[in-house]
Amino acid sequence: MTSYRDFQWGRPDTGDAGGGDQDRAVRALREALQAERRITGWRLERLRTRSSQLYLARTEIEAIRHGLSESVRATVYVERGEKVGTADIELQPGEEGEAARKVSEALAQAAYAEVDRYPLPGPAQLPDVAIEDPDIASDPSKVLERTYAEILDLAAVERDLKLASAEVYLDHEIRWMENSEGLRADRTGTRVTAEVVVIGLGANQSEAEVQGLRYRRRVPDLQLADWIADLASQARDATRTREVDLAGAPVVIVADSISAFLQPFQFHTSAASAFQGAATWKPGTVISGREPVGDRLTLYDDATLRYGNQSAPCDADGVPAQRTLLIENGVLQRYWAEARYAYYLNLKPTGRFSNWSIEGGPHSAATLLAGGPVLEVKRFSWLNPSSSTGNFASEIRFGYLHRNGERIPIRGGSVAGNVFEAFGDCQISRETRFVGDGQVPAAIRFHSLSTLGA
Amino acid sequence: MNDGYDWSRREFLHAAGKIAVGATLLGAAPAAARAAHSALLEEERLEATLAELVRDLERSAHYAAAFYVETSGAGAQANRTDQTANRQARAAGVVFQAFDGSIFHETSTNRLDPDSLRAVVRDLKRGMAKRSHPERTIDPGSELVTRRISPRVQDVTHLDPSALRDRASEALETIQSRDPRIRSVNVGMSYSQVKKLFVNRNRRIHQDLLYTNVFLSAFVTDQGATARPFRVYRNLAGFEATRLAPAEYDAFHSVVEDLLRAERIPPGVYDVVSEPEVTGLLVHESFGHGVECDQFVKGRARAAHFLGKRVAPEWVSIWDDPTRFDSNGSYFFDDEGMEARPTQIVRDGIFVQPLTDLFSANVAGIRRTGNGRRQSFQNKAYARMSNTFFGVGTTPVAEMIASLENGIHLAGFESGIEDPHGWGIQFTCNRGYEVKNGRRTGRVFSPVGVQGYVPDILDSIQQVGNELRLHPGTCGKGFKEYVPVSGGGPHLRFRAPLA
Repeated sequence: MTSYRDFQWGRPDTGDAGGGDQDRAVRALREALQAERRITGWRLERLRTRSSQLYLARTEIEAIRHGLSESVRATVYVERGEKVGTADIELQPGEEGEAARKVSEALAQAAYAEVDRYPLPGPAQLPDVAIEDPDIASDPSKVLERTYAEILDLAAVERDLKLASAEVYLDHEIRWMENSEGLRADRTGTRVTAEVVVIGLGANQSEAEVQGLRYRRRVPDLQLADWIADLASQARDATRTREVDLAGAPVVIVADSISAFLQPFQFHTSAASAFQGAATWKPGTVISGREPVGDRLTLYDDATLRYGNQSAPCDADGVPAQRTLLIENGVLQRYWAEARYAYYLNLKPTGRFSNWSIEGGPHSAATLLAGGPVLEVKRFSWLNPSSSTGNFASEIRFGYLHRNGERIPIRGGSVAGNVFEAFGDCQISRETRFVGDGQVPAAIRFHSLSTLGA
Repeated sequence: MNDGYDWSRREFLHAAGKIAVGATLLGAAPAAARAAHSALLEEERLEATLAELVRDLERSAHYAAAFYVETSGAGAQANRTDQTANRQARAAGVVFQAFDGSIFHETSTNRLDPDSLRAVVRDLKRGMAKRSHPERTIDPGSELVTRRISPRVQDVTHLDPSALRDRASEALETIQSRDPRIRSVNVGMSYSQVKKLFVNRNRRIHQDLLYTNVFLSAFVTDQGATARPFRVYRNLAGFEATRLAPAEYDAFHSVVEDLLRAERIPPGVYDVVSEPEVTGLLVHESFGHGVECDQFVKGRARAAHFLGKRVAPEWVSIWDDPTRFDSNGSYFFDDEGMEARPTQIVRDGIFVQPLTDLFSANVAGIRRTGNGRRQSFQNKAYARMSNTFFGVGTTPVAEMIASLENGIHLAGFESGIEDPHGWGIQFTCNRGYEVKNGRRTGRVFSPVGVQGYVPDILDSIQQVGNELRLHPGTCGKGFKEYVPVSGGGPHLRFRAPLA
């Protein structure tokens, strides 16, 4: 197969002449929407995504892909008394002439929907939110080439390690939106998906694999050097794991897993869940179900987080990006509320849920691993707590048991418990880390989770 | 009803005409009939353009292909506050693939006019160099022009979306009215029609796959206990699949009772009898993902060292079969133009064949099995499962339960994750029922995580049930690249750590 030094890095221009066609589609759709008097509101959005992707099998290039997709979409709103019907329209490239027909079809479809009426957001001052990597925007092939070389070089200097595979996707998105209330918003953003799989080599030809997957807005935020060094260290240590008794050990969950652990909070702090009767928390609810004995969680929904994966000047409805305090010292303060449910519950809209932002606690991350035995979980196989109950049970893909000054690599075994109850007895690190979808503590130590030995 | 047989172009036009006439007789607008005919002509033009561009690409590459996929559908949702129905806009795109002798180059676009497609191919050619001495060659397959349609009794694509909404509302009412403890119910019903066209120098393959989906979930509270039962139905079928039998509602409500009184399971190693959907999780995460051959090429699969060797007792067999059109993961051809065919992965306890895509089969020198699948035209193809299941045995489930002195009867699919290199598995079941001395004690645990080392678990299989059932799911490779699949088999008795 080909080494990267021999590889010819082309840059296919995937027919990027779309600007004019998309402009025509938007004009045609806007005119059709404005002409139809039965439509009481509408939202129009234009999206263009350019993608460049690299696939490695070991150190060789398996495939390289480029892509372009474009669409113009609209949502129509048709009020009937206290109800509103909605329907979606999408124009693919080449369908500019179909705008009027599609609006007509959407009108018919809107009659099927019955939800309580709500107003659309109007014009607003939108904050400037950083979400674009200028290098990806200008020359993604060059960024792919550079990233490929860096991954190979970083893996090559690690002892007792081989690179099994890597995939890097770079996306450049241009999104533009307007609505019938006069809202205008546009944003240009980038996304990076990187998967790196390394195999540690141990004694007696033993091997252990570690897979890392990161989603960011910018390539520098992958922090490739630290990331690959950490994966390599885990992979090597994973070749010398031991069976240990984990019973009773407090569990430390690190930054990379905290967002997954918090998922049930997104459901229970949602105005939509409250309105639908699917969640029972109200402002003033102690989120752990009982008075916490340890550190208390303070959590924000933050759409202004620099290069946050879900950051944007406004959400899909047009609600301006903001940072919203949801939980303070373990007590629910308010719901996050998209425009529709904010109106139903007479709340200030905060926008659709975006990024986690959690305040650090009083303890250094190092002290959370002291006073062993303490189980530090570096990676779960799949941490997927139930959004409604908060219950979970997850295998430990890799971790360390800290005991008597020793750091014992382990794999297998499991951690189980309830996410909400867990925050009734925990310790939160002072240090925080940026993990793409949030700024979260470097580590949180939990005392009420149960463990099954590795 | 058609059973998905091979249609000649004449037969297809004739059938399309009958559908158009039928639509007119049923009062559908004549425009619908014209639209169907127009769509067919558009398909023909696209096929011709793709064939022309594949020939053009092969002047600069050793092998080239084009893959077009179009999705459309409609969905409805019913819950306490919303009763909605909507058509999903048609979305379509093409990916061109070219092999330069060493590397696969691809470019995708949703601009489908001929000039845009030609521009895309021109740029793709500019970005690669054909090697005079290719490292490998690609077999394009024998000449074949065909058009296949998945089975459907009631062609939901011609129904107004309000029919889905009304059916969803019926289901909502049925569930909600049975139990006052149910605080909220959410019912989703949808269909998606996926049309695919694969073109290479020898093949022009059309497929029309119609999926119908039903999703039920509820939020239930009772004296401080909460439960969130859910049920998913996905079928390659028409509107007929949205009508649920009374027994399905009964099963849904029995799960409510169980979940409300469920406890957390004391972690430990248990004897287990698995319901078929749990058997499906086991086979999917172990001998599905574990034998995807692209992982062999990357050195990521321990199973590679076991090819031709015993991995389970001789009464164990495992299959992957995309030709079962009663199941969610089926297709006629994979996304790389290879005919779908059943693959026996494990025969009499011996691992005999991994699942391959074009790349992995080509590099590893292993037979192509027709398992090359893409999430969409914007995604690369990988070796993927279709319908994966354990073969049927002879033991009735009642006998298996009766044989448990102290064990757990596992039911309910939640999720799972693969570990091909470690050959570990982890999956989560919705419920586990305690069994002592061959009888349920009344205790229920939820959720129940199952983990272990695949060879150990397979080696512990003592009994294999005598009824086969498959359950639908969506499979990701890692945490991306999602494709529809199913998994299942008979009931199994085995031993595993639970937590």
